[in-house]
Amino acid sequence: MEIRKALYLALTTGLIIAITLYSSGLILRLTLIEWRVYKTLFFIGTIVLISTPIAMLILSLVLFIKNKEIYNAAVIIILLLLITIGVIIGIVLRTKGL
Amino acid sequence: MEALILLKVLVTTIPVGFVAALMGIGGGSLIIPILVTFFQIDIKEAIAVSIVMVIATSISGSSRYLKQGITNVRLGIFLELTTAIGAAVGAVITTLAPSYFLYLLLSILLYYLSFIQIRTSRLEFEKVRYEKFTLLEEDSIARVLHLSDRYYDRAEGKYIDYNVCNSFKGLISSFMAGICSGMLGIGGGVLKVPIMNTLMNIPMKVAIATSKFMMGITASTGALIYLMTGYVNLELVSSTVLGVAIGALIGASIMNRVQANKLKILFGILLLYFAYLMLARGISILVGWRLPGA
Repeated sequence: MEIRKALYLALTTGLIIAITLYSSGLILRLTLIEWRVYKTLFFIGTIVLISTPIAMLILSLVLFIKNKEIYNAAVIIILLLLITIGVIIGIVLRTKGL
Repeated sequence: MEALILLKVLVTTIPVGFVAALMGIGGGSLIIPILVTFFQIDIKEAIAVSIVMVIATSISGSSRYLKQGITNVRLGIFLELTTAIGAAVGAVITTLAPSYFLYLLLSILLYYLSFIQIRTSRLEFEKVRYEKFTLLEEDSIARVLHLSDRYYDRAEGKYIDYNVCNSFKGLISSFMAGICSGMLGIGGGVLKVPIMNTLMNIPMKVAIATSKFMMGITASTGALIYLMTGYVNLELVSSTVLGVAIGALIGASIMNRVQANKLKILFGILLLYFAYLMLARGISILVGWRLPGA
């Protein structure tokens, strides 16, 4: 599959799921104030939204390997490593209040 | 938080998503003053919300641009490599230089880039119309990574081929853009678009679409950290994301119909706004004057 089309499908799927969860949560929030289910929906929606660009990177990696574009695949692996390190350092610094 | 406020936030953030998608920026610098000024949201909470919002504008904008075949995926991932490193370095070295100095320096840079964007708008039009983006030879990095590409320009009604040049300089400049982003908390879009367009021979529309594609990756790292450490107001995020997603879908739908030179002038004007914002913040820290937007 062409890379742009595959990424388009991945991003659109992620966005539709996140928006559905947010909309459902918001409707519950506006109609049933005491019902706390909406918070769970908001949280899952945010997780889906944040994960979508990362999922897109992993999909790009798979497609580059499939197309034998080794250099581009290597660039994504390095990028994923940097993101992982960045998240770990960020969480450690934030939890220590820095 | 009151339900009515959530609805007001949703409606207010639609234009932010529209501008962000049209100009290839994250929109954080637009949404934070709105949340703080009009909805009395705490600045730290507004920053956390804006980071998640940037992902939403990026996904909704870049999904449209990917469908239209404008985004250069390989170029975006290649430049993201040093932007991510730069952002991390910027966040670490932020205490090395006084912040007012950095704000004033960036303000001068943005005024300059704004001037360049407006001045070269006619040139962009000619390059698109007379297919001059292939006159320069692609460099060796661009050749190895297959960075040069083409896109269909709806305003011109034809395919525009382009060769990517100065890849290494682009990589270094993206690193600097990442540092500015990490040190000053601004999105990289305002710097990445001119870097690609002016330095790397990338057509304006491709630069905007690729910048939009890149910023979702950068923002997801920051957003994950904020979410896991409990800084994100999920109610506020939900209405903000819905609002900007609607605006971004509309903005991304019309971007390719606008002529490249007009887009460049609009981007130049947007850069003027950011230059003023940086100047106001610098002056506020240096002499204590509270200019609007600081």
